[in-house]
Amino acid sequence: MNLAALSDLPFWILIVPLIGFFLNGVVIPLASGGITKTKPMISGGIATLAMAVSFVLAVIAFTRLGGESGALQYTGFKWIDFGNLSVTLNLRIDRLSSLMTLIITGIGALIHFYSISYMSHEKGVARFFAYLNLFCFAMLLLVLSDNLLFLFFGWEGVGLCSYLLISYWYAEESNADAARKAFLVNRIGDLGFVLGMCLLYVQLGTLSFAEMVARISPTTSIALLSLAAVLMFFAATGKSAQFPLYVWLPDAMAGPTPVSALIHAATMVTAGVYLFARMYFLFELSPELMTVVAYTGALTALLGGILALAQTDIKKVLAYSTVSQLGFMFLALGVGAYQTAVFHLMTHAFFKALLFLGAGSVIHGCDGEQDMRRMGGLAKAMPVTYVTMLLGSAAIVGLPIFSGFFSKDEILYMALGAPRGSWILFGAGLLAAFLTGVYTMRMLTQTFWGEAKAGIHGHESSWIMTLPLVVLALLATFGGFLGFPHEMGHWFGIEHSHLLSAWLAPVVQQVEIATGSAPIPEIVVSILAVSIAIFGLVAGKTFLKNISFETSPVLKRLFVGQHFMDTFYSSCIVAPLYWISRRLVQTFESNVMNNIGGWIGVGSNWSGERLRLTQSGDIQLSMLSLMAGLAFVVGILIFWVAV
Amino acid sequence: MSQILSWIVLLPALTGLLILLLPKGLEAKSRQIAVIASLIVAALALWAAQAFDVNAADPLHLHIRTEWIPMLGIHYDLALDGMNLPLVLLTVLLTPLAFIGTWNQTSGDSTMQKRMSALVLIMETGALGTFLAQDLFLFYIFWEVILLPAYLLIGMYGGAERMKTTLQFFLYTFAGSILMLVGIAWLVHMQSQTTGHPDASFQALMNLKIPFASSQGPAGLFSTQGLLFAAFAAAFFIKAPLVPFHAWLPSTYRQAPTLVSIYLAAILSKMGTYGILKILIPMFPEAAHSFQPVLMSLAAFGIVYGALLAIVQKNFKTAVAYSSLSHVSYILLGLFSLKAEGMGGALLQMVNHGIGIAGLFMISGFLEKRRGSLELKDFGGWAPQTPVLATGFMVIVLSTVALPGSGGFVGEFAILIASFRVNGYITAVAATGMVLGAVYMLNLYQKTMFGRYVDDYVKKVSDLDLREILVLVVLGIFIVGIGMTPQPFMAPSRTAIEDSAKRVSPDDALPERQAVPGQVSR
Repeated sequence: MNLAALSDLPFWILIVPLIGFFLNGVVIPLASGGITKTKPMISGGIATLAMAVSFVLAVIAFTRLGGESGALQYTGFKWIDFGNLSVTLNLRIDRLSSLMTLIITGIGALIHFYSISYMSHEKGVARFFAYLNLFCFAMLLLVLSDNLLFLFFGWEGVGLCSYLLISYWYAEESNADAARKAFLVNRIGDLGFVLGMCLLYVQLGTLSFAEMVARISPTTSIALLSLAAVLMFFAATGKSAQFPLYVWLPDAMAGPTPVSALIHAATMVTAGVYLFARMYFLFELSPELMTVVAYTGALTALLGGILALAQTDIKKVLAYSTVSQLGFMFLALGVGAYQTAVFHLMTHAFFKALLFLGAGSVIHGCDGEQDMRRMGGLAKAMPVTYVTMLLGSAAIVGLPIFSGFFSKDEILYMALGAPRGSWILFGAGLLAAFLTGVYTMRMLTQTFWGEAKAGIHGHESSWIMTLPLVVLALLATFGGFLGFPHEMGHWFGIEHSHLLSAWLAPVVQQVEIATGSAPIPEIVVSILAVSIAIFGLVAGKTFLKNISFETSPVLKRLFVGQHFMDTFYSSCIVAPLYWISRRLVQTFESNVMNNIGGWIGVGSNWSGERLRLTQSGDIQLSMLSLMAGLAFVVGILIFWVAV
Repeated sequence: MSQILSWIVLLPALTGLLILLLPKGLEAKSRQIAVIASLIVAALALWAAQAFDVNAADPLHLHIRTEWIPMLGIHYDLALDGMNLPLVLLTVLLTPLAFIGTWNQTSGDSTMQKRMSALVLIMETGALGTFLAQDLFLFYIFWEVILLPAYLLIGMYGGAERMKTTLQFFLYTFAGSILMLVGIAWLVHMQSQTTGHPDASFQALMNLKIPFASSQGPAGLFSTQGLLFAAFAAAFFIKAPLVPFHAWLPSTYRQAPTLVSIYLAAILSKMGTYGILKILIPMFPEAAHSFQPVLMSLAAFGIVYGALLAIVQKNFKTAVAYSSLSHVSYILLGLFSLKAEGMGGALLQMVNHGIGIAGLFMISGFLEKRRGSLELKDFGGWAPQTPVLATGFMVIVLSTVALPGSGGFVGEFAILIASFRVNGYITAVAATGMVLGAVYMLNLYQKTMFGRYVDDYVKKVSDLDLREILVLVVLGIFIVGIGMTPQPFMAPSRTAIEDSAKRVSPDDALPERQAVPGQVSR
């Protein structure tokens, strides 16, 4: 913190996507004579260029980060200073922000590029690319802010872009509904954020992360700070789709597929994980809360896995898979393995973006079909998509050397070995890893293998779409080596083989597992995890291949379509809310309120009647009498004061 | 130009009277004259605002003070200060925009145009005078100037139930006014008894020590200060309005012609909240303190209540009316927090709400003009046909739901922080407005702009014309401008409000912030 070098880089990384937004949102539509006449090549090209420039700047910033706690600081302006409220807008790139920035701009640029082709049939693509750039701006603000308030700016900003992009095809009422649901569920979470922020400000008198750390002293109330942590966790369950607020994410698949890849897999939904990593000093004050976080994560990982099995829509499988993987991250956070969570955030960004873009390529190749039951045998027709999807699947399942292998094993090891870990968490994680194997294999089997179904032939997508697939496949395959376990590194004689951990160590906390304190060594955990994942794959290929929840009425009711949580919310929250509102209108407002003014109400009814008798537009008369009355009262009062 | 404030205040009304006297042949030009006059007023006000200096020793700028009725201590007393500056600028900005934005909606007959333009200009004088007055009697007189034009406008050009509505509106506001008048008389009487020479100026009345029963609860209400507080509160709470004094609001906003709805909601309701900030709290600090829990609870209740009612409305304009009720309650919550940042946030929120609600009623006017109805069931699927309208509407929606980056967020954030410092539970209730507000705003947006259209009329709907675009662009610039860089908009009122807050909450600072040197540089 003392080594922060002043730099304009954070500002430019942030602002370039905003310029792209402005160009696509205002300039291009005006120049092309209306938003519907904008060209995908031009709009998409500009948007992609903006992200590419931002990425290059992010790389430069990355190389400039030196020293133990080095950071690049951009001093902004005094945003508000009034009474006891004072917040300054500063941007700051430290090692955590730098990693996030690279992920956002790098994967962002790839997805923008992919979208040029994916959205080429659309009218008015400038709107799409403008929103996408705006999203990246908000996401970058979220990770670059040096204080909680501007993190919240980004936090709500990404929510807005998510809303705008889910409802991109707004002529369908259901898309608009999905977008609104996403926004509102997130808003419920954000209520926690705002209250938590208020509480922190009142307790600590600052919202800057660095100052907050410095001001937590023995005299501050741990109970109130823990309450703030609870509220922040609530906010994170909304944004990062944890139980019980995950319900918006599957519906969010109504948006175009690149949106699902960028926002609903790689970046926005990981904001909650970032928040924990950034504010570990707050969360660590409350071990009880962190245990709840761990179990919430485990539950979400399991539930997401089960729900993924119940889906027939390829995007929904991936959506619930994302829910499940985010659950893994929260499991890691809960046991105190913040670096591990960030590691899985990174590898997940690689392989899930890849899987979504691959699914997009499949949908594109099948002319918009998303139902896996109508697909099959696409491997031959779409070789590049097929191979890259295979690599992505290997990564998510966690086959050795693939990226998911390293990050997921580390989570499982932490779930067992960390002081807050337990066999239950470990078991839940293993079970979720098994489910990952099953639903992934089911997806592959139904889409790529077997017989081609009638009417759906599929064709490979253009190079604009396959190039990002290839790049992401390389990352998904080899990205895990950034987190090569120390223990195994020693066998090869390498100190600090876990590069990511070494990189993050100065800024992000990580729970230590003392040698020999874990019930079983990491290598055994790895072997267990890999075996169970392979078992899942085999199960998915053989006896669970044709699994369908729709054959059982109970399962169907609980897990298919509007599943049990949706039912719960609509009957226990939405319906009562509307009921109360209607009651209020019908009774309280119309009867009580209109008469509460006592004589005013009576007078108004009485005069209303009177007026109706003489109603011939004779306003002057009644006004005259009222004015006369006023003059009389004024006269008396003046007399009283003067004497 | 030492009389510039007089010009600013009186020019609109003089133009209004002139317009009323226009011969038949020139009636068609009345709107042009009104727009030009209001633009001149805006230019004058901007020029006057240049004279404002936060660091000046005298908080009253461009002060005009002449004796008017010496026997009663009444002065003609106008000045620009930190509290009224934002509201004066809001008024002079919104008046021409309201004329321009509703241009085609008042195109009926030229006599109607003439009367509407004239009466709205007279209302502008009333609003500007109320804000600029530094003498309590003068404040009252301008306050009352509004009443007659509003009454006539709704009564003559309102919707189907205009007679009942306008009378209800009149009686409610009038009842408040009378009580305030009694309060003023009592207050000045006390002042004259204490000092020997009557003086109704705010500065003189501020120094008055008004006895207050120190005990909490109802006893306080029946002390001198409690009763005076109640008398003024009646007028301000009805005007703002604070639930449960709002019964006049829904039908009034709904029935009034768009131009008048804009004026009532955006500007006239601010007279009530301004009165609380300028008079009620600093003059009766002990009473304000004592009633704080009740008032904050009512405000929080109002936020939720207004929002719940807005959710189930089937008419666009009624939904907007209830949303206004909810948002004004936020302003009141900030004021009743009695903290500097809360009152400052409330003042900023008055401006934001003015801009936002003006935008919403404009949109309502745009929709009504194109559809001939405001029932939500008649709408849907407009966005592809009217992309500019859809975009402008979205920007206003975002400010209304207080998205960070819009003006609405700044005010709500400051208000919630201040309110949280007083009472966390009340704040938690109030903050649910964040969610409920998003529910009804997104509903309104979705039901008009998204989805499939109900019948083929949509294909004939035209997008905004240049006048309408101009209005939304100006509003949008202010929404984003305030949201991104609020400090320049808040800085002018800082000294005035912090001083005022000190009267009510003498030692108010977060522990950590006292330690920061140079924090309060006065």
